[in-house]
Amino acid sequence: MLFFRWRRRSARATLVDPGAQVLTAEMSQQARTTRRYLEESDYLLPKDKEEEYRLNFQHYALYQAIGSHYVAPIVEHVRLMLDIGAGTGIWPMEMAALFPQAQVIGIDIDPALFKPDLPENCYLRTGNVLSGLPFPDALFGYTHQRLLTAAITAENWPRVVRELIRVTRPGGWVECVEIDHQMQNAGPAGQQLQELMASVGKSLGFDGEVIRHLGDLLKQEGLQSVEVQPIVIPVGEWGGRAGSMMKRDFLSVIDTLKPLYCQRGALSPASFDQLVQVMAGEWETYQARCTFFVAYGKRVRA
Amino acid sequence: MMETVSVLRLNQQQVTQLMTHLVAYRSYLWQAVLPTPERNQMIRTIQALQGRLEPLQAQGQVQGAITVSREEGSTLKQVLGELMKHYGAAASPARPNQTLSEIAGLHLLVERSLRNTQAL
Repeated sequence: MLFFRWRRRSARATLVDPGAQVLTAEMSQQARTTRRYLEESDYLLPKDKEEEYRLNFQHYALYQAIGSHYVAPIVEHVRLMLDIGAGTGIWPMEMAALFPQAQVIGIDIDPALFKPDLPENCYLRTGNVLSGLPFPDALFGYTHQRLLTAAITAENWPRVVRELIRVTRPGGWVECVEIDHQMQNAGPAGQQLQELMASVGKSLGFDGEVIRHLGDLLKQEGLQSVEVQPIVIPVGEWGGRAGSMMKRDFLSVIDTLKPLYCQRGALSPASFDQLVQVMAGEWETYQARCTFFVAYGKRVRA
Repeated sequence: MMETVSVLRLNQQQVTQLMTHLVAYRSYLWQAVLPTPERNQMIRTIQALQGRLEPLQAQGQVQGAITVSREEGSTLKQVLGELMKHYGAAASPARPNQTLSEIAGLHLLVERSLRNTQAL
């Protein structure tokens, strides 16, 4: 179980307060009994009903904020698309509706959240990009991956990008959508929490800086016509419907990761909640924004 | 319901120019304009146009053509019109003037194409 792995890691870490260790064990136990996590995986987020609702909500929040399900200039007659880290499958389903002549495949490490009742041109399968995608070379006209920043450690990103390219046919597009680890206009409490999150992430092998260099990674691995599109999204009621939805999604993710941050940051749940509450208020006061980076490029024709 | 379309005929250079300006304008929308249904619809329309222009650019043909719906044509005119205002208002070393000429040429091309609409 993921929490057992956290506790093994924490045994190597220096603890600030022995009392926090006891508190952490209790929190971990409570979290383990209420949320479902993947065993033997780096993925930080749970895979359960509550996460299903959040992922679907996030999908619509992103659509409100970005305005489109894709950024690369994919052609109308694209035949085969792949979505990695499909989660509930909502993205491939909606792309299947937008591109009725295409076959859209979504894969995820865990099928537990897959939606039933798929369109005829949409398929959801189990697969793990870190183990190698279960597809032959040069198959897809469009390969898409969104928000796997909590699943791919820094050292694995080059391997993942190579795998995305491998399964994309020459002339096809690869697109990665990820969120920058730094929010703009976050406010003091937001800044404090961001630093905690970055520190915890780094201790587990995740590095937000990788996201800022995804375009370079795509170029290094041989893609052409590489573009990196920053998309600035409001976070908070001040930003209208899109901002309100993004705020709700962020708070939901932060709440999900609370046991981890409390344990690693030696914070009590009450202190953490207080920090989050102040941060959420700052988002409105300072008009916080987050940036998504969409890096896309074309595989070279043979 | 009958949809009217126009055929936009472009040479290779015009395809590249139009793609460049559409990408730039879309980038501006994403970085500087808060999300609204209107902004998002414009992004999706630009997206669809890029999807049709990209094969022309990739194929490298001397002349190519895409169909544009009335809505897409209107969006194209709006995008190019706003870009003309932007570059027209800027200071005038040689480079922005060239860009302005490019955009003005594309705007005229789109306008002419839209006058020759066909019913589907």
